Amino acid sequence: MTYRSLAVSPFVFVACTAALAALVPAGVRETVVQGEVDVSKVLACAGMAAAALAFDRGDYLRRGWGVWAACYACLLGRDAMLLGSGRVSAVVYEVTRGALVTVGNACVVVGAWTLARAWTVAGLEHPGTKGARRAVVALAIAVAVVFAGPTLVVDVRDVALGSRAGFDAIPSDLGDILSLPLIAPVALTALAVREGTLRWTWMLLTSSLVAWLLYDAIYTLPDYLSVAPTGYRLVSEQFHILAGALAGTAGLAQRMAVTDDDGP
Amino acid sequence: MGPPDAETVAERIARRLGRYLGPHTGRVAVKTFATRALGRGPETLTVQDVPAMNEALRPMLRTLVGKQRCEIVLQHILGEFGL
Repeated sequence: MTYRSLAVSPFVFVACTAALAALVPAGVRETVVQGEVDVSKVLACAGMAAAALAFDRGDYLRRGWGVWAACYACLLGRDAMLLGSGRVSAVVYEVTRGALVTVGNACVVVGAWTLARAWTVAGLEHPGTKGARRAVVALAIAVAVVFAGPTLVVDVRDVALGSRAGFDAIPSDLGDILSLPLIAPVALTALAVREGTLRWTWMLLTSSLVAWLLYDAIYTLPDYLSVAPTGYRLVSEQFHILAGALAGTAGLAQRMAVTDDDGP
Repeated sequence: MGPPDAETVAERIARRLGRYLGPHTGRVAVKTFATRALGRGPETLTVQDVPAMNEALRPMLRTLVGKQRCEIVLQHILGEFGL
């Protein structure tokens, strides 16, 4: 498989999932979309684990990819618990779900942080002036807070009012707020290697984080516009699926760059 | 970039790194590590400096492409100069 076809595959995948979601009867649409989201999480987990295993023990990026893969494994575990709903006590169900979401989101922050720092750890400077780089980071922080912040406020308020649903939503909101600003250093790394084979890894990883940001943005839109969320949520889930598929292909591109023979 | 025989030592190392980092960033990396490790600009590099440059580049390469690929790239750089 070439890097180019690998990079196109998430978009083909999402075109298929969007078409399927549009064509199925409305009564089963949410279940189908949830299944699509879980397939994209499997792809992300497998791709990122493949990247981690391409590195040797002790290699810096092995930890980053491995921890990020663990995040997707935890989120898959959380979704799998939906199948066990009603078969275990409500307390066990909610505590386990909360723990999986908390660990998963801690993993995404650590994984994204580790990968975002790779360029600096390598002893290189990102392109652009210091001022421009700071501006990019500030912009990424502002966008993350604007789109993920309101959801956190709503979830904290719900928990304060006695809702238990917010217990696993708050770690998820915090994970978004802390990991999405890392788009900036990841994108700057993609820019630095834009003419080399590593560009595919970093461009796909940047695209995954941007898709995740758009997922949050569209998810938050009904709160800003005070409109019914149903239609928006179905669209936002396609970006959720795209984020997972792009993360998986980023991992596969990393594996290809590390393991492919490049001749003498 | 001209034919290999017309290239300077720095350009030949940068070309090897450029496969992964891109030509521009490959040149920036050679300049960065030549200055940091040898205290000189890349235009002053000679074949005798190549082993020291490899040592300077090793942590960077190991971080970005892992230990195994790093050692392969460094071997290719040595091979480029018949070392």
